[in-house]
Amino acid sequence: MTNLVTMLVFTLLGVGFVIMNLVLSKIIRPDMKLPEKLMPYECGEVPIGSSWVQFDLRFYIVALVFLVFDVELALFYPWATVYAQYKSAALIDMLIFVAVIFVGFMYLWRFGYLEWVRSHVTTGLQAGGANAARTESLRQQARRSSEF
Amino acid sequence: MAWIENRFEEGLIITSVDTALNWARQNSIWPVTFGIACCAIEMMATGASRYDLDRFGMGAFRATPRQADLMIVAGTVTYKMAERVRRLYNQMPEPKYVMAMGACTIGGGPYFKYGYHVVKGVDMVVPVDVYVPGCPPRPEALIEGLMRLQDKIKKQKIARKVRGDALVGV
Repeated sequence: MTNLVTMLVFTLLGVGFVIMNLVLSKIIRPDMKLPEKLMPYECGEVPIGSSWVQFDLRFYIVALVFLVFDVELALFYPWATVYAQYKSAALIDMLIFVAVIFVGFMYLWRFGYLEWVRSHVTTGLQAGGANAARTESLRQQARRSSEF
Repeated sequence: MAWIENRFEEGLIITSVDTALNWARQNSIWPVTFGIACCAIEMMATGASRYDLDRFGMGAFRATPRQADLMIVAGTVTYKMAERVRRLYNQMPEPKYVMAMGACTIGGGPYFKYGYHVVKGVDMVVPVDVYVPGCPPRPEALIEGLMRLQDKIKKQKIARKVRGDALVGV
């Protein structure tokens, strides 16, 4: 019970400190309302165009891959608590689970979803088979251009 | 008598809020990088290691006016640039100060007679606190201008109204 009281006091002091600083600053500081202060900063010029740019889609892929492997990680934790009790059976069980996830990981790696700079040769299902020669030459070109 | 009486020098333990606030403000003036012409070279030299500006707390030149206190107008202000100078000054938060560095910003400088494109003094565009003469002023002169500005900040009061131009300082 005293732990909860301590936590409450701690939280109140923390929040109170922030609020006190904000209130004090608002009282002390001078503020002149000018329209330029609300404008976006463009080195002194009048801003041209909208400042909202399109979201880069590669971040979506990063978030998606992270989510999948984070869920896998979350499933590791309860397994780890009972591992000491069922040693080899637990190990084999988890290896099967990891193998299934690993197939997905290989798919991502092979088809270029882990590359930040993607050339068209690494995407799609063209990475092999009848297009092998053309794919290889394009891949060499991509490797050379990514050296810069 | 009280334990604290006559024990410490004046202003060491007990001070006023005005003094404390002004001390904090004058020792951390952050300028916005506003070098326009040749005076910018002297400003860069003042910020470098020989005539160090960082020992005054002024070493953090901010790239954006929204985080800066001081605008050192270093260089000739032309009519084309004057519009941008005013807009950048308006984008700075209060309390803000302006230092006119060099002869061109004080009264047009060498361009006073034939310079049709030069604004004869940056105080026609923004309100100026400190004028630093020279063409260009030596780094020591710029540092003296900065110390004069620190003296000006030391005289500020937060609760009493200041007559005159209310744009600058308090």
